[in-house]
Amino acid sequence: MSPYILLVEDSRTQALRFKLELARHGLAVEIAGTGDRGLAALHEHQPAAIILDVDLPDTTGYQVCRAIKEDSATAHIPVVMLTHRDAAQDALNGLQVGADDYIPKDAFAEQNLVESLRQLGIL
Amino acid sequence: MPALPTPAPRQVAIKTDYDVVVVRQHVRQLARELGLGLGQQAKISTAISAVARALLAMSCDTTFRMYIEESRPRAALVISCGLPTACASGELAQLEQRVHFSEARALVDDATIALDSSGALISLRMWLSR
Repeated sequence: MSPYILLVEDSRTQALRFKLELARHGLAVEIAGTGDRGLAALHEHQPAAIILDVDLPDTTGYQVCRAIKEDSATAHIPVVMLTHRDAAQDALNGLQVGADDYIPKDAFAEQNLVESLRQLGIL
Repeated sequence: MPALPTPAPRQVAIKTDYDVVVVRQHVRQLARELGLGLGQQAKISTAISAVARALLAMSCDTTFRMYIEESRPRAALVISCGLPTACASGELAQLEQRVHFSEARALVDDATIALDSSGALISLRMWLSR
């Protein structure tokens, strides 16, 4: 299978928004609607990067990120947190659990996400 | 590694919620142009938006200036804004609380508030390796 991006996002609208943007740059995207599904998916087939929402139905993106970074099989996979939470403590929490980048879902989110993946060497 | 070019100073006036998003984006872009890593870009841009949003909530119109400082102990990306006396009244500790200063300080390499008779100057810095 070719490299793909795992997008852990419970909002179908948001997931589609970012999937379409990444598809424009030639990236395949698999969507997981919960943290558990996301963790299961990355063990089946490792993605080139994980894009992770913070507010998930079954857990938080912080907990998912911590689980990814504490597992030696997945710790190397870059994690980009993409969230409506843009307070200072939220960003600090995300970076402290090992996220490589923390991007607010604002008017520049797609642009910043693409640039982040570029800087991670995925684009 | 060749030295990165010095970007031109920028400034953004904060009058609306959207201006907070715009200043955050300017800071992220500038940090990227200066070669800061993704985590550093996220930290400095989040710190600025925390302060900018607090100032907006205080109805304190201000302008954020973004520039490179070469002369202090080390080179830094600096984002600063001046507050008029009306916004900077009271004790320093109270002002720090109102502008969410401790949260912003936790995200950057250096943060200061200087008070004088004309108001206050808030400066946040991220060190550069240049």
